[in-house]
Amino acid sequence: MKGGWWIVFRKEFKELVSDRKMWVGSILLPLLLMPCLMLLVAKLQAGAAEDAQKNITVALVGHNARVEQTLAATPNVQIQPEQDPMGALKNGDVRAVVTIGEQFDQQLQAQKPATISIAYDPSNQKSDVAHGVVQGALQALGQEMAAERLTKLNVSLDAVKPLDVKSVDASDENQKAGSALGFIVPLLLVLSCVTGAMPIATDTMAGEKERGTLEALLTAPVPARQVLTGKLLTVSAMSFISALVSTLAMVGTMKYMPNITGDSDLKFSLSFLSAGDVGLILGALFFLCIMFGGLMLGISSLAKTYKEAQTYLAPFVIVAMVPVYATMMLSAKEIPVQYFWLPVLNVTALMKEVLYGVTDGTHVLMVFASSVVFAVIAVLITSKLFRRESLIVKG
Amino acid sequence: MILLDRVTKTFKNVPAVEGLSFEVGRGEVVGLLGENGAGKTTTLRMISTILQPSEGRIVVDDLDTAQRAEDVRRRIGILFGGETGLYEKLTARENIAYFGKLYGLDDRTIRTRTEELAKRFDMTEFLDRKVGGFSKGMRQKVAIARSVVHDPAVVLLDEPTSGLDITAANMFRRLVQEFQAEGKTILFSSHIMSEVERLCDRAVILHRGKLVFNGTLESLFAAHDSRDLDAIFMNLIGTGGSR
Ligand SMILES: Nc1ncnc2c1ncn2[C@@H]1O[C@H](COP(=O)(O)OP(=O)(O)OP(=O)(O)O)[C@@H](O)[C@H]1O
Ligand SMILES: [Mg+2]
Repeated sequence: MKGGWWIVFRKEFKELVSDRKMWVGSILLPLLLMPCLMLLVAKLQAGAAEDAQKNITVALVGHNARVEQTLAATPNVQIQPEQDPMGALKNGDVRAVVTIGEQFDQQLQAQKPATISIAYDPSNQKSDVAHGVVQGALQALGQEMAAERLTKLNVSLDAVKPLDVKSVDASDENQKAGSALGFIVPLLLVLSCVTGAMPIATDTMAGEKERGTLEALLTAPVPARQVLTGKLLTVSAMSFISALVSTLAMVGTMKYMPNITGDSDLKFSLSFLSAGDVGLILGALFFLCIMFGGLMLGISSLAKTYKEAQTYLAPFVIVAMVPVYATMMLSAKEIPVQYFWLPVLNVTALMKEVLYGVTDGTHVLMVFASSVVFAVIAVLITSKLFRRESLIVKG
Repeated sequence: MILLDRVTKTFKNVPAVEGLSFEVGRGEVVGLLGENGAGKTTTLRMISTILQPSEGRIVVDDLDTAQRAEDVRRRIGILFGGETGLYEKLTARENIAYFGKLYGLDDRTIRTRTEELAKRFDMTEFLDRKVGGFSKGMRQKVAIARSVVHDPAVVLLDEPTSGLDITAANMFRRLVQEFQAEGKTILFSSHIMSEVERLCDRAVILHRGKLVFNGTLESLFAAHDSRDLDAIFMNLIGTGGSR
């Protein structure tokens, strides 16, 4: 005789295949939602970054022809006359206020440092960018003036520049893209595990109990453990199929994203996302699916009706989202090490690393080891619950 | 053969069945009578090993249900009345085949057995339709076919005619007689006295989980000097009963 679990699993899947609702919820929805949400996030981020580089409005207080010329000649900078420059900065009407000191011309004449200040709002990304641009322009002007004075004194500019310090932006485009998607992708992938498992977990346990089929099933000469295994496999498989579809949708979206977002500074093609990286994500999700499947089945078996099970299982969506929010604000490099062995959190932390391109072997091991342990614990709890006869037989 | 030896089942300290002992011999048809909540379903569930007795012992064909649950299940076919517990999204044939597989039958046996049962219960025309759209009578036919697909020696029926119209109920009674002719051991619960009178060799009457009568209907009639089963039943359980 074939294993009872296999018979149960095959029948469950046959039922699933003929259930359109289930496929829409577990396959079609993530397939559509994933690219849409990713594109939305990408567009918003790229749009914000692009916007910050454009239309840099600056208010000018005081007068100096050369400063005015320099600023006016800086690309994307527009000098905007304002009655109340500081108020305008606060309201976001201008992004920076350049104040030329009252003694500016005299100080220049006397070859003393001439005071010029840039007021900006560091909490405002656009203002922050404007500060950088204006500062750069004024520093360039300062160097130009210095060069003129040195030329008059017949000294070469290099003689007063003993060091040539260069800063190089080491984060590549991939990392920028990875961190931009490092939030939305784990959220969607973990959610797809939950939404893929939820309807079938509800139906196969509480639903079968309500309809009386579970009782009939348990009169068959198949150990309850085998029945549970068959059902667990079905739920976990559905959860994983949903996660797989979402992952493929994610990879597909990333592949075609550059064409859609145009030539903004942020590229969303994760060219470095190799097959191995995708395998890592799927591997971590696999155990997450078994854990969710086990827990959901156990909770579903506590319910007497389909409706009741739905109520009990609803908080799982939150369970899936909290860890994602916990890692959301962290950059991949500053995730605390204990996150890599906490349930759900470990998988989201690993995904973040993978998406950022800084996967760490030790972390991978921690995540997989802890995920296996959590999956086993979830299955054990459920089999304990399932053995209690009062839970199986409705009153 | 079914034997119950001082069987008690309590749910959270409330006894559903108390000190119940009776026997159903091989090839015998016994009716399990009792009003709502008397403990009929609980008794049948314990015999079919879904529930464990809190106390006492149950033996089916020389196998103790506590130790040989799986072997006992293989010998038993059980049908629950009212709600037939079929998979709505599967066809009648798939429902029957699922249980055939669970009982360890091979595909060929399942196919021939299904055809045979379909002919017998007059369900060939809807065999490959999904159960979701079936009437109660059709469902009950599928359910009974499913529960005897493995040709069990012992058949337990829990209020099998509840909710069925006269035609369906009659078909059902004929079926019980056929099972009896095949030599199956049958225990079926009911609260319809006339049904029991027509089909059973013997009756076991429960009241609030306790046995109040166990014997042939003839001996019951003789003891009460009446042939009115309803009156005798009321007499047995005391008129204070909730019926
Ligand atoms: N799973 C359970 N948990 C708690 N109490 C139960 C459970 N199953 C049955 N009972 C209780 O045990 C008693 C016997 O119930 P049982 O279902 O065996 O009666 P019954 O004779 O089949 O009644 P009916 O004619 O209504 O089907 C009832 O009081 C019932 O409330
Ligand atoms: Mg009952």
